[in-house]
Amino acid sequence: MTEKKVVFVIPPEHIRHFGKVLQVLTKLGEEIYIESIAKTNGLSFRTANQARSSYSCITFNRDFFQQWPQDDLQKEKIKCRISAKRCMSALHAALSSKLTRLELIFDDLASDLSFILHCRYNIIKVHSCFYIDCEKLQARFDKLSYKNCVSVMSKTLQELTAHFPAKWDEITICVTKDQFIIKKCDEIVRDDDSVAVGMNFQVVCEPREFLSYDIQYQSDITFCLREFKFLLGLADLLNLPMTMYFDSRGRPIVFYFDAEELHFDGTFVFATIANREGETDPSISMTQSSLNDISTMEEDDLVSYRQCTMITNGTNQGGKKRSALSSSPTLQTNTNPMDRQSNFDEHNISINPKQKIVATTTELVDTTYTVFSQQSMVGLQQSEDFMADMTDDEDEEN
Amino acid sequence: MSLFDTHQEDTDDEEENNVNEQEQTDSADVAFVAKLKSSRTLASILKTIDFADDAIFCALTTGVKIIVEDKQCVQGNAFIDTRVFDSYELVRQVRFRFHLETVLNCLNIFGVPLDPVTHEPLPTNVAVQIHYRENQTHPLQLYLEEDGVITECLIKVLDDTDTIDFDFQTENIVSKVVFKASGFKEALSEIDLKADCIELFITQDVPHFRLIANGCGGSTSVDITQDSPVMDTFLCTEPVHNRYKTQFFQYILRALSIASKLSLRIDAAGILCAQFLIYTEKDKPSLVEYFFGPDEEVHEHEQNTQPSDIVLVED
Repeated sequence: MTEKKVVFVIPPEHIRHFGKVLQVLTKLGEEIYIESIAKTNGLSFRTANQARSSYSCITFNRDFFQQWPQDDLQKEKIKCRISAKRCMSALHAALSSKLTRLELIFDDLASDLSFILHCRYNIIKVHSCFYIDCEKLQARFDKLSYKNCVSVMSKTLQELTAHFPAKWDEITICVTKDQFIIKKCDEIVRDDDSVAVGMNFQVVCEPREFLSYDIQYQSDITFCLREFKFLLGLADLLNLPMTMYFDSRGRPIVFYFDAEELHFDGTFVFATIANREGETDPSISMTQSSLNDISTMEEDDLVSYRQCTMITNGTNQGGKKRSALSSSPTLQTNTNPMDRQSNFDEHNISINPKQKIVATTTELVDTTYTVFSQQSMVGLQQSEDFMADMTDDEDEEN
Repeated sequence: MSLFDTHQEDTDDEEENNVNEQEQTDSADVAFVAKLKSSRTLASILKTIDFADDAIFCALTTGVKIIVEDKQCVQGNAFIDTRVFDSYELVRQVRFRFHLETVLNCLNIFGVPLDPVTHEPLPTNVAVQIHYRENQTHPLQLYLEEDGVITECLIKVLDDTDTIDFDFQTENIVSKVVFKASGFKEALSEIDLKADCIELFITQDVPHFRLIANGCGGSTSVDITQDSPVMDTFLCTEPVHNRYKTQFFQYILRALSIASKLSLRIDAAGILCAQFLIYTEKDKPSLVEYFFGPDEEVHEHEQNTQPSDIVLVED
């Protein structure tokens, strides 16, 4: 980054959107990664939660801003992260008073990002927070590779899930060609390993509720409700078509919206549970299908995945990652019959902890991720250009 | 004129007669009687200076003065003019120390209804009478009445103590700024109050008035220029750059909610005097002022007696 200050100015009509949208991001993660995208002339704000089971990215285009840095952003790349808490307090200030102007100034010398709020009565408030230069935060997923794609107005989705209390951990969607069911199933695992079903709660929708409904694969996936609710909090602000991409269990579900008139878009990726387990038992039951899921992932990918999540300077594993992605579609078809079986067999799943332990130590390099009830299949990768960037910087320094 | 004219029951009249009789028999001892139609007036003013356990109560010919001190270099004074009271009888000037929290609780003994939207206390029709007898062994008497129910509070008074004389050099003021309270409150609303201290900058150049709070991980600041409608008066003979403890600004915020105007004056020594003009029901305003010493330049204040015209007669 250069010595100059990089200035972005947001006009008053966009301030509310900026504030509300970023507020959602601050709830979804502990740190916000900011990056300028030279190719599309945009500024992106990303975050991932601590468990790395959700990834969110909002990109604002050039037209969202009243003023954009004069020089080409190729030379003045912004790649940093800030504390979500500080960002939250700055946004709270921005939303609580009527502003005539909001400026974001990246000061490379002081390593701080200032939010300059021009309030009424000629009062200027400045919230500044330190930033840390870091590498890109990027989740590995390919929207086009998903079999199911459903598009619905975000407000409709919010209304459908409004009465799911936020204290419930997960939400399940069962999708067939004729029905879209959103539900929550309470399963209680008794001592004798039998599973009893507690209260069932579901919303059944027909395809005509949706703007587009393309289902090629019968799905039954479960993901975190809390983060989903934060995402739907955006629906209050913008009632936009939200597109959902998903297919089998274990593959993350992707939510995408594009606010064209407002010049920004958002992508949210949530991990889904690889296999159904008892509500009270946080351990994972690993059936053969999910084992295959993971075992076919190249070990190097998982190693680099773990390195990336520690945000250290790891080596680039770019080449190998590509091949993993291409193999995943074929992966899904193999597990298809197994998944369908598990749908009907839901009450008789037995949880064999011993099996789990054995499975994880041999197949999964990093056992820490299986402690959580969701298996995190969101891969994080280093920027492809990381090595290139590093050498560039070194050259500049020299 | 009796404040207890809202109720007509005989029993209450009797009670009142008893009280009056008592007063008449001990009238020689009574030093001070004050009556207010609404205890809210007194309670809200006392609340703004409620930052220490004890307060000094002075009944003067011009009105009531209450002094609160926090050993960390802050003094809060509240002046309530005689015309704010519905009745004010002063036989002798008095000065004593009392426990502030207790008196506040007594004044609010009938409860504090809050506005559901703003969470500000609503006005009530609780009347209060304050009686004080000369002899310090007698307690301070507060009578509160609402809808015919009378509560008598007897509060022990403590020995008087000396108060700090900040020696605020009124003739040597470096800067004076007067703000509208509501606008200034809005300006201060997002400042980070978790920081240790707040820096105050007053200069003749833009920005004229600036407050910076340095917290961990970043800082928040507020700039107000001279031409802002929030600023009524601006005077600056020398640039000011001082640091004050953040909790002082919390006191300022507290007083801002009931004040209509705020005046900030800084003298050559860096002592900040914040005065708040508070209008209650009557036209005559009350005044609350704070004196803050700057941080990292703590002076050893001389322990002088208050340079006012109060003379405590001890028998």
